[in-house]
Amino acid sequence: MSDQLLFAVVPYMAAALFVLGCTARYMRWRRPDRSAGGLSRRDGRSLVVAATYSAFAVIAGLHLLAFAVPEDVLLWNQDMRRLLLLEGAGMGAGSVALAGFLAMQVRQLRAPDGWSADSPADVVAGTLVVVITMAGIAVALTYRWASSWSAVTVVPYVHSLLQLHPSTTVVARLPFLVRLHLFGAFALVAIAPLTRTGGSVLLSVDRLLQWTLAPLSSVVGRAWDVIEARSAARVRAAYASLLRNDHEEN
Amino acid sequence: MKPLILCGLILWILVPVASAATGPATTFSRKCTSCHTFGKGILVGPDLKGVTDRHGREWLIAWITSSETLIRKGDRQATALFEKFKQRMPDQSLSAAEIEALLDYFAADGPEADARRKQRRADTATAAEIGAGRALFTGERALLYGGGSCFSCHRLGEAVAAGGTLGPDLSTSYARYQDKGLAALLTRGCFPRAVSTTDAGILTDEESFALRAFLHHEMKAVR
Repeated sequence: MSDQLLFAVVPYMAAALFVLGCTARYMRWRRPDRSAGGLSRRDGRSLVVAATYSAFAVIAGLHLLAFAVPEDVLLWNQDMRRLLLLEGAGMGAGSVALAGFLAMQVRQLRAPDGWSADSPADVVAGTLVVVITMAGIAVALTYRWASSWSAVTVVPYVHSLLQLHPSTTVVARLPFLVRLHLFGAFALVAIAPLTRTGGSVLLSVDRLLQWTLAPLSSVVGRAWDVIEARSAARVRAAYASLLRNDHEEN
Repeated sequence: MKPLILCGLILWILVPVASAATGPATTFSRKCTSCHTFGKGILVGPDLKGVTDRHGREWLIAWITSSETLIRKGDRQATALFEKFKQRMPDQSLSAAEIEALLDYFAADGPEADARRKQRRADTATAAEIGAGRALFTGERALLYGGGSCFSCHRLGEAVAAGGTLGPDLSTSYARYQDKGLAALLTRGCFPRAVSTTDAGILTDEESFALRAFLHHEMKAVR
């Protein structure tokens, strides 16, 4: 029952909260401004911050790769050297990300307005990031070759979620650390739109959408103008006809 | 440039993922065995042993694809089968390649050979079969139906000490489960697939036997 709730219901609740959060934040801003979030100028210059964000990007990329092409990851892992390379990259990126993130938090807390700068959502999200990353590193150390076994355990589960037929049979048999890693990720998805980083991601998505959909919107806009003009002409004609009928009856 | 990227994105989303074709043994067990036996007499339909000798290949392809079409056309063999068994065979949604593979499988007495292989004991394995089992265990040879190798989750004593630690060490697995138990375990797979991406099973019979042979060999080596 608890497995069903945690791994078949909570993921969809997290997704719904994510969509609601993004929509609400976007609607409130209309056009997200540059001060919405993300790295400050001072942060941007720091090597630690750059390394931390790069490490998180590598981790995200590796996870996406595992979910998108699990069979190819298994083929890659057939060779021991390649397996060690992949696992090493994940482990290294995870360690850099965790150390860098903790360093960033300590530096922020030491700042004069350190305790009040972050919103409650940022604090919760930060805690979740630490828990998820620590759990991920612990999984890699305790249950080695996660890039291989996750392809036949976690990936089918995530695919079942995406296909709207959640199956918890596999997750129920996974160790606590893996389940913690997964559940933490769902919680982070739910809260992400309310965070500072979520705001900056939303801003980037907005820019990307503007860039890619601009040609489509100009075509749709022109078509809409034509439809509107024709419709207005018909309404005017119908109104004139009604007026004429009224005059004739009078 | 922008419309091209947009079109590429839409195409990427819309293009369906090609489904993997299944092997003839799996096709036989999933599509045929509810109504047919191979060498064990009539069930709902005729015994399929020798079916490729009793009928021509083209006729069999047409029959498997759509028996109703043949019966409606008044085909003599089709009508005789319909009258004998009082029902027609449901049309099968198999590709031409799958039907060809199935007929080759029947012609080579595949189901009986598989049954013999299933009952074969691991201690009768050749060195080549043990080697194949090792390659399958370590992942050097990929499984036909995809999926992870044993190495991803398991070690095997000193022989495969670098194996994964998610599952237990399998050095004593043959002693615990023996041939029959291991064969059943390997058929089911360690982890049930959350969503089956193909109709295929976890392992072929040949892979299952090779793995059992390797586990048996390693158990003997330790002792």
